[in-house]
Amino acid sequence: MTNATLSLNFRLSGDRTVLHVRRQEPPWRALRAFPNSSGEALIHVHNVSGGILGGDALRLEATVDPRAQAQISAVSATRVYRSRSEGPPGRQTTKLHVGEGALLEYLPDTVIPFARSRFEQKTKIYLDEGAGLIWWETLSAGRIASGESFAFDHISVDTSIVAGGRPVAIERYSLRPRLSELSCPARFGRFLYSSTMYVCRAGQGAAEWMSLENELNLLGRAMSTDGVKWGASALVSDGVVVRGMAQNAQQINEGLRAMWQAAKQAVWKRPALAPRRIY
Amino acid sequence: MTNLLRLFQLADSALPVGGMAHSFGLETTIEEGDLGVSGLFGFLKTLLSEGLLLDAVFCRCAHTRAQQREAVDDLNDRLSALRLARESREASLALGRRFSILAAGLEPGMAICRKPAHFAVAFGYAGGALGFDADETVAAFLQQSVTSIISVCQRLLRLGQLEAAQMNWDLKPCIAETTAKSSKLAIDEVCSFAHLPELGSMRHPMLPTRLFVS
Repeated sequence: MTNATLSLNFRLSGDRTVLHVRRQEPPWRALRAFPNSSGEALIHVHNVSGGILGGDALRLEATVDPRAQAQISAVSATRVYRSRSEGPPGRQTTKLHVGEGALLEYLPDTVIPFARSRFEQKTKIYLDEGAGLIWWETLSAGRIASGESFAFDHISVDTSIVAGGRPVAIERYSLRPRLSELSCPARFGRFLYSSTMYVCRAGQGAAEWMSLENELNLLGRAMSTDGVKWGASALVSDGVVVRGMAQNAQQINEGLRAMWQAAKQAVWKRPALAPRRIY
Repeated sequence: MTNLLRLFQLADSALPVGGMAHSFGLETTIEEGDLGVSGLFGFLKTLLSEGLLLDAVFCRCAHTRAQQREAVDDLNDRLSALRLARESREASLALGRRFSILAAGLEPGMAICRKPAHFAVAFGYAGGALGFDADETVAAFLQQSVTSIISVCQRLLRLGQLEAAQMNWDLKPCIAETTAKSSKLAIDEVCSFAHLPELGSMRHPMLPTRLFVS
């Protein structure tokens, strides 16, 4: 059981974004930031224990100062290990604050909940005026290649994005496959992966988000097959949400990357550069 | 007795607020083969423990606010953020707006919220303002919602009237259970997972032929 914090600050130094690690406690490890050709400072966040154990309480905090540009990725999937039945679940709390005119791309790998695992995740994201965000999350049914599907005990997710003091997206769910069937069409249906991506820029007008919704839906329609489906929707304000559901990991990763590239080009007029180790 | 009859009228799925025009993404889910008659009862049961539970909690909270003469703007802001799919969110707001106008017209001087409100919030607020019991208001809202969804399915699936009526009848214990659950949850606690129906709503604008607005 580990109680650990990783606290990061991205700030401008001249016209470059640099990383300042405020606090780094094991098993967290932030691999050094280096600039990519799209302008962001890229860092890989690593959990050296290999995954989340029951009783872990991990906190990740990141602030992106005004006009700084940052991309946070992970070196591998978030594996959630089996929890002891009597002990507390594994917990991860993430708090992100993006300053005026800054951009944060937060692109972790898939969450893979092992059989009998329990996991609670809370994410709060605050966007100042003009702040941008590309954030995604993919939840898998489990270690599918090992024949595990919805064999975890409990996952709860609580994600909120606040722009200019107003909530623009809240997602809060609790999944207990032993108590309620997750392959029901009101939940996952026949799919085993579900991805959600938020593309936000605080203060950008509704017409531009409607246009992006349409563009991403056209792309989503072209990428959808019987085994994978994509859709997009303008949020109540300040952004768009993209949802993908698939039967295998490759379909979801390829689609997510295509949606990311289209959205970044449309909103920030520059390409999305994938961290090399993922693709 | 008069109040009960009024509640029956407000909860009637034929109330002219436009409920028959919206499928909340169900049209896509059915069109794409992810939901058929055989899975419908389970789907509705699950919906009552997810998306409709969310609505029920907001409906109940709005009921309380009306009795205390408090505003509901924050409830609408929060519900708008929780409803990620635009068409479903806009449908809920459209129904809420029409319901508020209708209810205010039926009961002049009644303090029904005038700002754009989600249907669940507008219904709960009207129930509180008219002095209905909170449990009965929430149950009536859920009953109305389930009936509307079944009606949508009758138009999209091979679902006969008797089968639909039986399904609606058999869901009453689930409606009662969701009503009871809603009294134990706060608006910042209630959870809802409906990724596939939400995806259906997001994909709905791309359907080549549509019977429903959402």
